[in-house]
Amino acid sequence: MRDFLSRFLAGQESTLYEPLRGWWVGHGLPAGVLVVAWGVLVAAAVVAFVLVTVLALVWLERKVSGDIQSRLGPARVGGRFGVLQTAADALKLLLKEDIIPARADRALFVLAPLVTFLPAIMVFVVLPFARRWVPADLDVGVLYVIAISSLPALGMMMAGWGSNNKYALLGGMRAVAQLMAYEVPLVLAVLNVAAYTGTLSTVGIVEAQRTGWFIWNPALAPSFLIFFVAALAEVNRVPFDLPEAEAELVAGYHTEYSGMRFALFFLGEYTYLFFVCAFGATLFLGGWQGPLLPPAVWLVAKSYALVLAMMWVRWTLPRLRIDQLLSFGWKLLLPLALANLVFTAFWAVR
Amino acid sequence: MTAPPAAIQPESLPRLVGEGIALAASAQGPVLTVAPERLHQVCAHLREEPDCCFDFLADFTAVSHPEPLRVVFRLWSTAHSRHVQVVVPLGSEPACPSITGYWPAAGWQEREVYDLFGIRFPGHPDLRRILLAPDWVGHPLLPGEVAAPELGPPLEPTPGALGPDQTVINVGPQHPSTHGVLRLVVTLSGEEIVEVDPVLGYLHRGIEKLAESRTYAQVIPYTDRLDYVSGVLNNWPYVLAAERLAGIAVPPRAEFIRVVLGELCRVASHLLWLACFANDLGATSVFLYGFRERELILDLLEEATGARLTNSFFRLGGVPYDLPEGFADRARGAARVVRARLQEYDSLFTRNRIFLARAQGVGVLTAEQALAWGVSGPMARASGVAQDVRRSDPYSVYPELEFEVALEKGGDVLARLLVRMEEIRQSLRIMDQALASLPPGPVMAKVPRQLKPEPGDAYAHIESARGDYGVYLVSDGSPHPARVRFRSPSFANLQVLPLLAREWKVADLIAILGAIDIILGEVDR
Repeated sequence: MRDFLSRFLAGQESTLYEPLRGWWVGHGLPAGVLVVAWGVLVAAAVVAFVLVTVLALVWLERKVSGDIQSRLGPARVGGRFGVLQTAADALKLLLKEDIIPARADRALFVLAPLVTFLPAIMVFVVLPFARRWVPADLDVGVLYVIAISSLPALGMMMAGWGSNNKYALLGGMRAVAQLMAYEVPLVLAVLNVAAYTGTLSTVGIVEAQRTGWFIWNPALAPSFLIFFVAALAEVNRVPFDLPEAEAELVAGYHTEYSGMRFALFFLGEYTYLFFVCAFGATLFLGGWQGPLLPPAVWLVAKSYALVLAMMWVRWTLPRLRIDQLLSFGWKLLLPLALANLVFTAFWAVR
Repeated sequence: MTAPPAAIQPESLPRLVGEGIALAASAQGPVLTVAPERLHQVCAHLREEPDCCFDFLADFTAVSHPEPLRVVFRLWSTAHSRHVQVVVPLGSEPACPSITGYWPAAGWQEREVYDLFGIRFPGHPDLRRILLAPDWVGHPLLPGEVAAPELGPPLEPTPGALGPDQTVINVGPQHPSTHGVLRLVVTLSGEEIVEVDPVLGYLHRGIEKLAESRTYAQVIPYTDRLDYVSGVLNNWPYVLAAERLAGIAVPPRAEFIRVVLGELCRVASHLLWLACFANDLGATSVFLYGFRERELILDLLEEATGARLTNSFFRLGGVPYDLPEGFADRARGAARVVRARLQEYDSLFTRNRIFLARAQGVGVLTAEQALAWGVSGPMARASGVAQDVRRSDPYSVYPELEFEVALEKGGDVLARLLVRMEEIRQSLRIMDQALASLPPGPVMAKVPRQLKPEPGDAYAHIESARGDYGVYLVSDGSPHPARVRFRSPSFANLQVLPLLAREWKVADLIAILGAIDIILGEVDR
């Protein structure tokens, strides 16, 4: 058993599925039921992990910002360090009245938080926590991430339009303009990795880093920087938090949202924040690889390092203006990403 | 250093005297009494004549009591550093030609006088109510008028003429960046500002009307509620005007204490401004840092005055208490901390590339525009207008203190920040000197329990954290002031917002508005 556990933690064993399947089929039970039940179980595990991570991230953000701003941050709920503060806040949001503005477009208004939140969870399907600890090792994993991660902007536009509020609309339009401008350099940076490794599988990309993380590779290091900056914009964080710029647009696309619907936007934002960092760690920081500790711990630790960097940026910098943001994306980041790709294609790939 | 030449009168003024124009002298400069039909002739003279050059509309108001109803305005010449007061007595059908053609700054001031006194200004481009609701009935500062709200039938919203692809958005009165209950009706084309129409009055408490039923001393606590982030700087012009009116001499020690507390309030106000301005631009942490340092100043103010925000510490004739023991050392300690932290702000914020991209060249106001629109204080000095009441029309003991008037040429948002940063340093420097040269003696003059000044009027102005802050007092010989008028710098400075924000983006509107540094308590009064 201990032997099994250590192999399990090392990510070598495809979890418990194989032995379970043998037992199940051996008793003459239908295999199809197990496949479905197993899928549900894995999905539940991923969602549980994501939700706990988000709670932790929100708490961490409040503690980090508190520290940067020479205050304490949460310090009452759940002991001296306020660890239960976000749980309490989530509970409060759950219990709040569900308000839909009278003149909102109900269908869009109700759907928008889901359209924003669900893709943020869906992308976790291809995130490898260890060699076999990946819900689905798709051949087109990277492509899948790129496709799914464009969806939240749709949700923001839906929220902006459906709220029937001009601030929300401005926020929604900003979200789309910003996504267009930064999705392209982001994709190019990711493609650069794919071109270098010759695979679109996230597991394959991590395996290719066995000899060295891509962040140290001269052809791919610029891609990491481009990825990091574009990712900041993708997750709408300072200095790119324009879609919800508080000082200008009140709360941007989610101005009219409250209670659980607001919480879904919030959850989606932090889920996506964690995913983007985990994805960056997978692509450039060697993913799950690392000595001594179990692979999943390595991946989570690397992701948190990137998350902390993003938090540091957020609580330090002021916000850009929309035209500055767009010209930075289109006129600087995009040519850089293209040049980087061309360099990789002609010189770095043998 | 300039001598206080306030009482010197321009040589060409007597030439004006004739039918409908009379000239008198007062302790605070010449007073021209002009019939409405001669007003434009006088304005042209005052504006253009080389020995007049009155380029700055310092104050503009009306007085209804004692009779007659009259428009009173006061001009300032930056070239000669002197005032002239113009009085326009009006008849039963009160109308006074608009002077907006000479001083655009009169635009809002005339709207206010129309609003509160019902005086019409033929020639004004846009004579609407400004402080009271558009459906208000009556004009509360006329004698016999009750200040109780009486509203007419509700007004239907008038759809404005919008071009294609344009929309109207209400920024405020509830909005994170209007710093109070300011409402901006903004016409947008995409994210670009087409027009801004500030709607004021959400915080109008009728303090000028209230003051008429208080005694002279009782008015002081109301003044703190105007510019509520720089406490005693509000008391100052009022007590100064009342002391001039009643001929009270303030003991020197009290003057120095006033300077110390006034400069502390200026520092606190600028720090608060920096914090909120940084927050407007998304630099959330600087917001907290500004508050952290302001806290040090507020602790000092609390120690000296017993209050942190609305100090109400100045009295007619001095200050009620001496500074507490050991105050000077603690104030110097706090000043050291603030000075050191200012350098941190510079590296974190002022020299930040993103901030520079947001601030440089944004919302430029030229020196000519600043003067024409009655802009004063740090905002005018950021445009290169070297006017600081502490130097140009000195009061209290400022002539004995050494400091530089912070000046920038850019006229943009960045320049406004740099001026305020420098002013914090200069204020600390002034405070240090004032503490070092605190003379012994009493802190209060002998003042009668109930002040009953001779009938007359007095004007006093100081350099507040926001600019040229004046108080015009009229006495009818009773224990209650007949008219208390606050010339608030925020009100005048805010008037240029539409001018500055046009053709910039929504985000710039917030930056420009933030850099003006308005306090709604002072704008709406």
